[in-house]
Amino acid sequence: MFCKFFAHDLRHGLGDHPCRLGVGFLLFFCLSSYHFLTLRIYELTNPEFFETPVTTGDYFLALTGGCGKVESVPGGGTTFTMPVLWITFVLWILFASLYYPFLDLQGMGKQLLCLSGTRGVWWASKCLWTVCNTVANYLLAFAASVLAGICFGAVPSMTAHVYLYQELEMNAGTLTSPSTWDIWPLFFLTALALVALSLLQLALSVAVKPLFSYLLLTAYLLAGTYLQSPALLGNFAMPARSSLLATTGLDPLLGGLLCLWVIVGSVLLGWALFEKKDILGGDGA
Amino acid sequence: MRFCRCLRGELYRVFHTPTFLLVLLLLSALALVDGILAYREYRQNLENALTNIPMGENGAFQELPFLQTTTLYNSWIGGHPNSVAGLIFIYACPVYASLAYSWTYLSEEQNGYVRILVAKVGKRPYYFCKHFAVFFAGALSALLPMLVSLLLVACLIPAYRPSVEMALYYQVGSASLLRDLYFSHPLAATLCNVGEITLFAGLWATVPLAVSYFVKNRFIALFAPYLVLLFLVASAGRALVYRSFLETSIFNYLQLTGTSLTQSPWMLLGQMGALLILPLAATWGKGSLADVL
Repeated sequence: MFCKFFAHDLRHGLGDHPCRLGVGFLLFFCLSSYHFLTLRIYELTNPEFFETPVTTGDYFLALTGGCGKVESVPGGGTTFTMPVLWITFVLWILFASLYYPFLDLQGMGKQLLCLSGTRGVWWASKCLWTVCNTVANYLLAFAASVLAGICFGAVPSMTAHVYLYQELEMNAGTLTSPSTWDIWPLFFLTALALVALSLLQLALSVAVKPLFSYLLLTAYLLAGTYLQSPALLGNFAMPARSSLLATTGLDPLLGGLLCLWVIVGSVLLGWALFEKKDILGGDGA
Repeated sequence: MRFCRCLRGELYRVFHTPTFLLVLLLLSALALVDGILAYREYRQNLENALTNIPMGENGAFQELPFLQTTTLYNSWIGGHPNSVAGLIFIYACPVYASLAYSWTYLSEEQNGYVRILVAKVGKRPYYFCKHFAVFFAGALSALLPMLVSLLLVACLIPAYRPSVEMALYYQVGSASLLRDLYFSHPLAATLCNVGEITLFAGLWATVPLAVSYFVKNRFIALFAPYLVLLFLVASAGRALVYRSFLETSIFNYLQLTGTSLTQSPWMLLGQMGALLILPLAATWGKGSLADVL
């Protein structure tokens, strides 16, 4: 029965929304393409970094890198610049997973729930759908950035160049490498963090309404852009805050563990809340 | 007459809508937390001054105590530099302004209430009342927490006049639109900033309303415009870096301490004007069309 629920969710939650996937792909392609414009500046200011060709890893890191740790400057200021590109990327991925479970609950999902007589299977199916949807959108972002890179002459590779520290507002004195970074571990960590955030959003949507869960997650992510803390999961979805790129960064292993805990906790908590939820009253949104 | 009655009804509903009240509660809590953190900074600054700076026999400080670095005008939620709560308040403004009341049109359309009201008061009065009520709710959702923040901070932190010699501590950019007013008439600058944020929140709240005339999915109508705004801000930021030093992000215009780029009143007016005219045009069009389905 679970497989049938999941097949239904894949068909109606992913397959029936080619428009949303297409818009997401275009969005990420455009955002990744802007790196070509900033490259022209760095080629003039830091030509020493361009002895090896620009890679698709550069384009991907420019899209998903976020911003480095915020540090104080003398006089009371900070180095903080809002990473709007990163926030757009993460909020789009969360938005893509936001509404399908509750629209389904108002429609055919309610019938399926009543006929099956079990809430656990519906909930498990939705959790798995959320994971698949998040991963699909993340891979779409990756594909879009790779395609943008290839269109502008980048070499396919997951090695990113260190010149990106300027674009990611990182401190040059804290870089872990003088030339390049291998960003494969960060590729997987970012995906795991996004899955954890999506499942957290799903669980919150059961407790408060989906509209408010998005507001709370937005506030949580915005707090994470300013404060570097393991308690703010957004930091693990931001490669510029990782200790693989900066010595002052967060440990990716700790991040992976925390994300796994949040995934398990969100699934269990959401299930416990959903068992008690009134699915017959109100519109759920 | 029918318009006034309809408007009264809509405004009554604004104050009795649970989401509006919940948004106000959350933002007031945020303003409260920010005020308490700002007071802690002020206390720390004061204790440092009292501990480290010697005082003369007449009780006056013998060196400059730098007490003006923490003042009412850089401690309220909209003017507080290096504040997470202030950051959330400004950047999440489009989300909570939309949540306040913008979703009600879709809800009324789905349950048939729109048809009843349109039959009673007419199409154009109904849509304009709805547009105004949504604007009002969005504006209030930003204004009331800012007033809470200002009142709380005014009770706790003195309103020292910002000093130009300590400009570094206020982080009001040299090219900021309100910079001159901030140092000459700080209260007026603060009220202008409050007005700016209130107006933006109100105008933004009408954008999801206009989108919901065409898109019947509540989530897309409420949040897709915000994602489009972020996309435009990110695009302009990346495309113009090192090519133009004109500030294009609306968020940096709303935040006094937001930017070091040149701010142009025409850029701000253009963006606010677009937020005013486009949803209003959609409302006018919706109210004028003779379709009944």
